[in-house]
Amino acid sequence: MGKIRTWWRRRRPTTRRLVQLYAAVLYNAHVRGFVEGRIYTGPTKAVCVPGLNCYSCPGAVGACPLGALQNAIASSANRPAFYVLGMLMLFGLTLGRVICGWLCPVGLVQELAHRLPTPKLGKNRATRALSRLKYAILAVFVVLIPLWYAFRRVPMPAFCKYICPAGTLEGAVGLLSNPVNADKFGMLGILFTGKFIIMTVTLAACVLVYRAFCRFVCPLGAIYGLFARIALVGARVDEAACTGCGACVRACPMDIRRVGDHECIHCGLCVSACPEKAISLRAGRIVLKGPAAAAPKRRETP
Amino acid sequence: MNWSKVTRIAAAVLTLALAAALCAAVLTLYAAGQARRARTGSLTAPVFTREDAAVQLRRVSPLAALWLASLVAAAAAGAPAGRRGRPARQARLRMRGQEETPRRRALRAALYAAAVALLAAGILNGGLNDVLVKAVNICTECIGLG
Repeated sequence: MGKIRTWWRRRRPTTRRLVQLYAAVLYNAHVRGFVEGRIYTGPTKAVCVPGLNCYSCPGAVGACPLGALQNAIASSANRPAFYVLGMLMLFGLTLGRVICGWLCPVGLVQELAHRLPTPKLGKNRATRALSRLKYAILAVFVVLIPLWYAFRRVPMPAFCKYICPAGTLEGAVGLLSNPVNADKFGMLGILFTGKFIIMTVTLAACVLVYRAFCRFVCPLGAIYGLFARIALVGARVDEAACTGCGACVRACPMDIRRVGDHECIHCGLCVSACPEKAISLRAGRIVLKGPAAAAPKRRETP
Repeated sequence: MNWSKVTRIAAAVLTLALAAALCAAVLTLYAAGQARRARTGSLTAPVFTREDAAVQLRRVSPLAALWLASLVAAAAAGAPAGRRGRPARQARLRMRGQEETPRRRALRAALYAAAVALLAAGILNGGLNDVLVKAVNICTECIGLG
């Protein structure tokens, strides 16, 4: 009994993992869709969910913010993409990359894949350099290509079409695995071949590298990263208590340079790693995790 | 080299092998479909068929079973003993710009106002309806169906 209790204490899911699971279930709450092989068509699909979740997944009850953004840009010759931009700004200002760490189903899949018992590749200079790739992908595949085609009146969600492994995993595999959609096999071609390879490589990479897609490819993370300095919720460092030992950066599996920067997903790992207890997860002045020092220590002047 | 390390390395190698096998399988399916099209002279004939996909899946399944077995073995062997990675050298950090300054709060409030204004403008100009229309139809391009 004692052994079981010890095992459970070691293995029980963290609060973050439970929140990730709840979010994934909530985003894909249309369970009937998986059984019937059809997607949800209710009014909640007009609202974007904060995390990356393909809206062609049979269970999805909300719109994917990235897919919606590309389609809004693609139709910007008719009307400007105000709605999606406003929604992304609201998400970014409130939560920033907390969404990546706590509310993204693709992040959850990547973290679960990384838990498989294999040797892992840690972060290094190469991964830090690669982490900039997502900004290039954001600029080219999410903004420039859809915009270029928008003025030719051709809808072109380039990231969804050529890269997004979430679309292949949730949408294509989710729909094709149901015998009801057997007729859709006839539509498969070179596009599916390429995207299936991308999905497989991404999943294999996630087993060996922590959140490989999130760190190097995901443009949604790049968008939320732009709000890192002003997001309401996030990891904060008590500058007076911080000795600059770097334990937080060493403990972090992401390519951060300091806690709370544009690569930080606010997972809270650094909170327990900090020997000075200088880091906390906060929503404005409310402490969500970490030392509940409401008033930051004042730096003593010599 | 201990048992735990060996099983973990084997699991990693099999992960890569399985990924490669799946990629090869999908490429084989595509090539076979194209060859069928050329043979029959029909450009509208399906490239992928459920039957071909089932054959490829059956081919990959022994490797998938081996991969699963390697994962179970690695999990049973437990974590490798000893050092768990070299601690990275780290320059002393300077944590700056983290505090909630009035300026930051004002900027956030202004951006919130802008976001709400954008949302309202988007709802009025039909952006909400655009998102709904796109989301309630399967975007075959987006999910790679073509």
